[in-house]
Formats: sequence, C-alpha cells, structure tokens
Amino acid sequence: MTPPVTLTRLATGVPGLDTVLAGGLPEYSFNLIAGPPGSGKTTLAHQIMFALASPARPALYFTVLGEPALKMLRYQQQFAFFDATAINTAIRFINLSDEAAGGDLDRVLQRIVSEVKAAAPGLVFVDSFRSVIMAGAAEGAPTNQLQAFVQQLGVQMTSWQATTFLIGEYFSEADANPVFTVADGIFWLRQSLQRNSMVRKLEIMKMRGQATMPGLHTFRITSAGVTVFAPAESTTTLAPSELVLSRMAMGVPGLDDMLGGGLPNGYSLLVAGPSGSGKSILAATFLGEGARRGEHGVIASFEQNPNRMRNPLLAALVASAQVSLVDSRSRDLSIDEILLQLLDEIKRTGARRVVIDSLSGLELGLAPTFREDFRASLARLVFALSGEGVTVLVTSELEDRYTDLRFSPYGTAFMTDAIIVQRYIEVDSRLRRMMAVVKVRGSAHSDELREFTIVDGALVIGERLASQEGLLGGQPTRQRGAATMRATGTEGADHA
Amino acid sequence: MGPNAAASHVAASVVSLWRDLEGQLTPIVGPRGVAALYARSLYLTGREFPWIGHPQDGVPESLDLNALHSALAAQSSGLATEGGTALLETFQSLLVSMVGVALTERLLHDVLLPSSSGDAAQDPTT
Repeated sequence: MTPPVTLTRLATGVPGLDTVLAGGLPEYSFNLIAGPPGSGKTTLAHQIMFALASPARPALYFTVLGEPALKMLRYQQQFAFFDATAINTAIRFINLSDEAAGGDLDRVLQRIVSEVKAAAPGLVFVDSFRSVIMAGAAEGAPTNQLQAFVQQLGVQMTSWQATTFLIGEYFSEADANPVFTVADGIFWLRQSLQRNSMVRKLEIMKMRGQATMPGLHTFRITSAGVTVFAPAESTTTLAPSELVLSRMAMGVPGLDDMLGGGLPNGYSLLVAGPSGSGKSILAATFLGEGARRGEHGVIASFEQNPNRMRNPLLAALVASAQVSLVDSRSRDLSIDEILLQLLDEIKRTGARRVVIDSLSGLELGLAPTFREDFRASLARLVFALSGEGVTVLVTSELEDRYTDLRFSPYGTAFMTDAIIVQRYIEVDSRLRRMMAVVKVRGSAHSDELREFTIVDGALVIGERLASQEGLLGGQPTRQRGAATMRATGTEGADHA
Repeated sequence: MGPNAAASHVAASVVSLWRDLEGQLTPIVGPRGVAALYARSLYLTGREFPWIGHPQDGVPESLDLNALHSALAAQSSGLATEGGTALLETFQSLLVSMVGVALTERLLHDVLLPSSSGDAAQDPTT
C-alpha cells in the first residue's frame, strides 16, 4: 500500500488563525469567508493573500460588483500587510463587473476559468460571491444552476491546483445552501453587539481533514490587520511537587512566615479586600521583590491609568523595564485577548511573577458579552497562567460585609491556590487594617489575624490582634482575660 | 508640420496614452470605474481649460476619447500639450488621493507617468 497523500498546510499570515485551524490552511482547499457587511471578510482575505502570494505562487483576486474595486483598494492599502509592490507581480486584481452585470453565471465562470488557465495562480479569490449569486437570481437562474456553478468552480479550481476563497455576505447559516456542501472550509465572521460594545468573532464552521478549534474565537482588526485570539494552550507541565518545593518571597516582612515560608512557586494567590486596604501595594511589592531577585514581572493593571501610575514603586519597575505592563486599555476586551497578551509577554521576557490588578477592573474592561460567563473565563485565565509555571497574584475588590464571610464577589476563591484577605476593623474608634492567610493549598500556614499599616507606601505587618475577638464581624470586643485568639470563621473559609 | 498637424500629433499621443491607461486600469477597477475617474478628471481640468470638454450626461460608461482627440486637435499644439498634460496629471492625482502614491505607481506601472514624488517603487525581484 502506498502511504496517503499528506496535505500541505499553508501559513495564513493571520496571527492566531493557524492555531484555530490546527496547523494552517490545507493547500488547494475551496473555502468560503462569510459574514455580514463590515465583519472583516475582505480584510481577512487580503491579509491571507498578501502573506501567501509570491511570484512563484501568484494570486488572482476577482472583484464582482459589490464593493467598487477602487474603494476596496483605498481601504485595504492602509493596512500594514498591504504591499503595493506585489500588485501586478505576485497579485493581480481582475474586475468581473461586465460579466456579472449580465447575470449570466456561465460567462462569469468562463472568464474566471480562462484567467486561471492563463495565469496558473496558486491562490484565487472571488469577492463578493453574493453578488454573483444575486446577479444570477436577477436573471431567474434556478438554484440548481447556481449549485452547478459553484460545483463547477470548485472542481475547476481544485484541478488547477489553486487554493480558493469565495468571499460573501451569506444568507443565514441555517440555510442549507449548496455552497456550504461544496466548500472544504467555511470561515464565518460575526459581530456581536451588546449595548454600545462590538466584539468580532470568527468560527471555523467546517474544515475538511482538520480538527479545528471549535467555537467562536474573538478577533480584532487594527492597522496591522486581523489578529485572532486563539484559546491559549498550556505548554509547561511541571509536576505539582516540583513547584511546591521552592517558595517565592513576597517582599513584605512577616508575610512569608504567615504563608508558611513564602508563596509556593507556580501558585496563584488571590488578595481580596475592600477599596484602599492595600491590595495594589501588596501586588507592587510582590513584583518589586521579584525584580530585586532578578525575576521579571508582568502586570495587567485595570485600575490605574498607566500614564499616571499612583504607585511609585510600580511606576519605577515599569520604567526600568523590570516589569512589563500589558496594555489593557483597549475597549471591549476578551479574556482570550488579555491572556494571549500576558502569555506573549511571559514568553518574551521569561517572567516568573504575574499580577492582575484587579478582577473588578478586568470585568469592567471586558465587553459586556463576556461578562456573562466571567467566572468560567476567569478560571481559564488562572489555569492557563498556572500551566505556564508562573506565580500569579490576583487582586479582588471585596465589599466589606460583616454578616457573611466572602473572599471574592465572583466565587473565585476556589480557583486560586492561596488566599490572603484584608479587612477594615474598628478598634478604639479607629479604622485599622488587618490581614490573614486564609488558605495555602497543600501547605501549613498561619491562622493569625494580623494588624498591618501602610508606611511610606509599604505594608508593615504588626502584631497579632491577640486581645480582640470578633474581628471578622468588624466590631471586635476586648477579650476578657483570654490569651489565645479564637480563629473565628477562618476554618473552612475557602469554601465560602 | 503646420500648426494643425502639430496639434493633431499631440492629440494622437495623448489619446494613445489614455488607451494604455484604460487598458491597464480596466481589468482592475472595471470599465465604469475608469470612466468615473475620467469624468471627474475632465470636470476638474475643464475649470482651467474649458475647451477640453465636459463629462457625458448620466452615468459614464466609457471614455469618449474621440471627443478628447477632437478637442485637443482644435487647439494650438502648445495649448493642446498643456491641456492634455493637465488632464493626465489630474487623473493621476485623483488616483493618488484614492489609493496612495505607491499603489498608483504600481497600477500605472506600464504607462508610467512622470511623478512629482520621485521614482516609482520597483520590485527588486523582477
């Protein structure tokens, strides 16, 4: 038996798309790029074309009515991938408006086939295909004629060894359109609107011979073109025992002891507390300690304007490039986009410490459509980062409630390996701060409630509040002669 | 060569250039796309050279190069050169305003017009 033919896979030149396609685009495949107007179909097609076309693998781009060709070029030439020198050498545009105007599908097909024969292109694009169909429909071309046309085109293009793309505003996807059956691959672009936010999503509805990544993948169009945010896959597989062996210093005197000797390497830590309790300071100190030890850090900060960073330590760390700041100012973010930015930066710098400050800010930065499954996305984010072997500190705004014990507003406590909670308490008519280590998975840790203060922008952990009880209720009372502290409510708190 | 013969010669050169331009651009932007650009160029150039003609009424379908030839041939050769050049330059500026210098020079590769922006970008691989 002879071995099966191996399909060559082409790199599309669209960041993230090859990952979603599970390795690239099969050569000689017959593809549809579908979606509503303005969803980025033509841009995606151009980006793929400019990446793949060369004098050895020339491309033909047929324009059929629809968008005037000049206007299309006007907008496409703005993108960084658009290389004018490739026009008329590696790439030729061919206008079919004359053929299509008559509504004769045969004429359109004839012209495409004769041009393809003459140029022997490796890539063929037909934009927009809907115009072809509408031109046909205007002449009362029956559906089977259309199906025959598409089938013919598919057969011809594959035989002429051309990877082909039909671009069009396709009907409803529920429509059992004959075009869908003939196609090897279907790229469906969508725009999801919610309130005044718009999120672009791409789905590979079909790709013969490949196990593509299912579901909707968000993408963004910038001056560089399309970037698809493929779900990140974890690359590091460190055994948990290897990680627990080493510990990371937090940089706050006394805190490492409370954690049972520092934060285990590769752990995720949730720092929960009310506004102003010192979460961001703790996070900055954690990164500062890393920098002191030569470990690079990455921070995604949703709290502060990066240009006016309130924390001087963090500002200095970013300025000296010891900590990378992930740009989180874009509107309508998705978790995948943030995660990819973080992972890129971690890979680029070899960072060991990652901070997300804070979950509340992150939730506000997300497009409304992603807020609905925030908890699930967050779990994915935390697990993916842990999978990279980095140590993650996440802060979370926590409304002070003295009637129940909660460590995060999202039920996120179970996602992280360790939890530190900060609270305000009233003692002697003063507002004071206290903190406790609630959980360190697989490790002994302190169960003390310790008072702390912020001195010159640094956390200073004080004594155990030994003489008070009922601290977690917010209104402690002085213990009557009792020397030991009742660890009220801390047991099992991570189940809250 | 008499004055009319000289103007005729200019008209023939200008029209021949337009035929090349049309041949170069029509496959890319379609006959109506080229006709629309030509009509706009004629309109803009007509403000300085009213004799050069007016765009056809309605949606332009094609370039009326016979009309252009007649208009040019009826002038002195100096004026015909001036008007013909102005029309070509207007067309080129229009295209540049739409798709930029680099792409315009690429599109008009074989009908290269002298450009104020320097040499056309060349593909080093050819």
